[in-house]
Order: sequence, then C-alpha cells, then structure tokens
Amino acid sequence: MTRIDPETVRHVARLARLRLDEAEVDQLGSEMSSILDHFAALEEVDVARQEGPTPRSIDPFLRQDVESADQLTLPVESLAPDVRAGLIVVPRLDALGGKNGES
Amino acid sequence: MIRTIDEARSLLAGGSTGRDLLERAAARQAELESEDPALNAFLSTIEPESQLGSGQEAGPLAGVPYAVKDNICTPDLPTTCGSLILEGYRSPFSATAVARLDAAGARLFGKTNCDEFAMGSSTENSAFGPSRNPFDRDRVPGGSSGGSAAAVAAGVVPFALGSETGGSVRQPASFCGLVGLKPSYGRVSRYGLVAFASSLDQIGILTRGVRDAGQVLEIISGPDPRDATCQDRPLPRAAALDGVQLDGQVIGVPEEYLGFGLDGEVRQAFDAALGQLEQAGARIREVSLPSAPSAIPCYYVIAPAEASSNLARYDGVRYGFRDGSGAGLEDLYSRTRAGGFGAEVKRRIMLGTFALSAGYFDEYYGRALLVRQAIANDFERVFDSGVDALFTPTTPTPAFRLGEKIANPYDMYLSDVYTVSANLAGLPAVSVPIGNIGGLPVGAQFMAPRFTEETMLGLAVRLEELVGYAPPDVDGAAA
Repeated sequence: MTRIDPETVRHVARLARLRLDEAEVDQLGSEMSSILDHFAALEEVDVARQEGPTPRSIDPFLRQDVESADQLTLPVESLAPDVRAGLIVVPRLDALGGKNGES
Repeated sequence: MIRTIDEARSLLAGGSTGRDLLERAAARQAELESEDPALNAFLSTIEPESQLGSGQEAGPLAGVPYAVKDNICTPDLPTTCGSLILEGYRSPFSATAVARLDAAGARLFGKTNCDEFAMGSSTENSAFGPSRNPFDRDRVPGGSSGGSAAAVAAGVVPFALGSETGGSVRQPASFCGLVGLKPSYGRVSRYGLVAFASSLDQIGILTRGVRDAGQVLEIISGPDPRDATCQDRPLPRAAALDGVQLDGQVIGVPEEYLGFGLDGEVRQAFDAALGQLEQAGARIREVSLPSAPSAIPCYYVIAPAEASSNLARYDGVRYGFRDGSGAGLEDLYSRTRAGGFGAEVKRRIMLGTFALSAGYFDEYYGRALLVRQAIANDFERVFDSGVDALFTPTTPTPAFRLGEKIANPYDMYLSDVYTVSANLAGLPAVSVPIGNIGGLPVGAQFMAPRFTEETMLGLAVRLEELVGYAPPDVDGAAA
C-alpha cells in the first residue's frame, strides 16, 4: 500500500508552487495515497515487448518541419510604433530614474 | 429551438437572418436559465443586438449559431476555462477552429461551462457552478464539455465545440443523447485550445446527428502552421459519409470493454445495437485489447504530469487572478495558485508533479509511457488483423446524480474507463446515442484507425439510421 506522508506532500507542493494549509496536506496525502494504489495496475502490463520503434498509431505526432517566413523576417519598423536608429523605443521605467513615457 | 444545421438553414431560407437565429438562441437560453434549477450551460453569451446588421450570410455554415467550450480562445467573449484564476480573461486571438467556423459563416453565440481546465467528468469542478442534465436536472450532463452538451441537447444551438483529453466530448454526448466526435490526434489544430495535456488534447464536436458532426469536422480540420502536431492529410469529406456501407465491414468488439462495472441495461442496449449492425451486414468479431485494464491509471499519470507543466504558467504574473498579500515572488506564485485553482486541479497538479519528481519518475511517468505504447500496439494489432472499427459502450452507466461521485476522485475517474484509450492511442472515436434507460440517454462508440474519420463517421451514420434514436422529453420548459 502506497503512503504519501505529509512531508512528501509539502515537498511536492513546494515544487508545484501551491500553498497548502495543514488540512489540505492531510487530505491530499490521503487522496494521493489512495489513487496511487490504483496505479499498481501499471505493473500488470508486459512492457518488455514494447521496446523498439513507436507504434504507427501514435507516430508521427509532429508534422514535417518545413521552413517558412515568419514575423522575424519583417522589417523591425513594421513591428513597433516608434523605432529610432534601428532600436524599438519603449517608455522609460520610473524605477530607472527617467521621466515617465519618454525615452 | 434550433436542433440541427439543416433546421437553421431552413429558417435562413425562410427569411430569417443570422442575427434572428442568435436572438432565437438567446431566447431559448433565457428560458432555460429562468427555470429552477437553471441549466447553467453558458458562462458568457453575445448580445444579439450588438451584432452588426443582419449580416451577409456567406459560406457553408452561413448564419448558423454555435457554442464553444470556455477553454477555447475567442476574442469576442472571455475565456475562463471554468477557473477563478482566469476569471475575466479575454484572449487577443481566436483559436484556429473558431476562426475557421467564423470564415465559414457560422456565428458564435456563447461560451459553455466546463470542469475547471477540462479536468472532470461532470462539470461539478467548474468554479462557476455545475451545469445540469437537460433530461433530469438532478443529474450531471457529463464532462468536462458538459455545458456544450447541455446547450445542444436543450436546443439552444445546433452544434458546439468541446475538447477531449480522455473522453470529455464522448461521455457528455452519451449522457445527453448526442453525437460526440473526437477526431484523430493531429486532425484539428490545437492552436487556441488552452493546454491541459498536450499529447492528448483535441478539439471535438457535439451535435444531434452524425452528418452535422461531419460537416463541422470538414470545416475545422486541416494543417495549421501554428500547431506542429496538426497533420496535412486529406480532409474528411462530409459528402462521402453516405457512400460507406455496412455490408462486409468488420466490426470488432473488445471483450475487455464489456466489464469495468458495465450497467446491465446499458449492456442490453449495446447488444441490441450490435445485433442491428450484424443484421444489416456487418461482420462482428470478438477481439482482445489486453492492456485495456491499465488505461485509466496510465491516463491519470500522463495527463496530470503534462497538466502540472502546462498549468505552471498561471502564477499571478501574466493572467487573471492575483493574490499579492504575501511577501516576495514565490509567495505571490503559491498564494495565487492556492486561491485561483479548485480542488481537482490542485489534486492533479500534485499527482503530476509527484509522478515527475526525482525518485518517482521511472516508477510512474516512465512506466506509464511504456503502457501507453502497449495500449496503442493493442489497437494496431487488431486493426492490422482486418478489423475496420471497434464498437463499445461509451460509458458504463447513464448520467449519474450531482454529488454522487464528487467525494471519491477515483470513482469519478472511472467514468472515462471506455474513452481514455482512444486518446492515449491518438485514434478517432465517435459516440452515437443508442437508447434511453429510465428516461436517460446512453451511447455507444466507434473507434477506428488514425485519420479514418470518413469511414468511421459513415458507420456511425448507418448505426444512427438503424437505431432511429429519439431523445427523451427535455425536463422543465416544453421543448
């Protein structure tokens, strides 16, 4: 029987950037343990014979990689409202010490 | 009510405009929402009066109103994914499928309710309250595309887009007496479909009849430079469906799919439909898919693992809800996600993060990938042996009651027991209504080799004709 202890739940929650209260830690620990018990069925499939190429039914997932023009081939002037000397003009941030809205 | 695309066309031919049909949809929607309890199929709808003019009605779906699940991007209405974390979010662009429908002249009426980020089988995980089954308001419409199913079944719109990751179109279709089509992985662009599990997600279609699903599929299919998984294959032609004959087709029935808690009356309805297919000339063959019992655990490792990565972007910095009450960036992330996500989404993010974490990766995620391959190989072996399509029940039971499964997550997961395999293997599948049990619809599904939608939908048309399904009366207001 799989047991997910509270410390593991807290560790996974940190990885997932989820703030949990203690009640949620207990509940998720118990729910995850119960769900993982059902996952034991994964062990019942003989996967030894699965080695080798991906089956046709799930391959290829990706279309052919064909080169095509994209926005980066457009002149930079067409992508921004104000360009000076080849640079895109953006508002200056207050935090950097300039006046708002002017470069 | 507008039940079918043909019905919409007849109204348009009789002098109605596209805006008139939107008004008709709005009136039906208002009627359903005024009842107690409300159907709660829609999260947002357009105001017909705001639509410019009576419109020039051009294109194959000119003037036909439709609905879109709220996890598919539309600039004209918010896209919340049924989540507080995206409340009020409006996409700056249209999903490719929506853009293609618009180009074909169809008119978006509204965005439909769904389980949060499409995680669920009942719509009870929506942050905006559950949708209800039009045939029994105490029961669920299924999920996660339950709002789309309820909207079409109640006659608000003749078709709706949903999305499938593990059965989220076919299961609600079965619960609401509709046709639910999940195309092959790679048939319809996922651009603008908010990502849940990218190797499984696919936009699907809910309609009353198979031919309507075929018409919509032909329009939304085809390659898209914005989705590298979308394939350039010949389009499935709606006009070809009538050319598919049952005579000589080999229909496989996997023995494993007649277990898993299959309700006795669903089994009877399924056997009756199978008998009709055989009488009409199909050759029925018992087959075996030995890895099928592992499909649910396999799916519930892979889908949460991908979700835990895809949903990392919702952190209070870029979109929607933000809880900035803490100190520092990590606190902003973790408080925002704790307050913005509901219980099921948190559970799946936790499961997925656990399955991908050091020490458990090989045991869970690595193993599940191998099992997925075994499941796909099972299908391939059966189709290579001369089987044209597989035929199974869509769900083990008719629609269950609101609250019946919500306390036990794994019980809820088992609602998808017959549907997840097609997603894992990337196959097309379609659920067709085959009867009513105690006033509730039930469906059966065809699954077929990848990119053979034309044949599969042709078989579904024949089944539809043989069964001659009539839905039960819609609960509440007169249909």
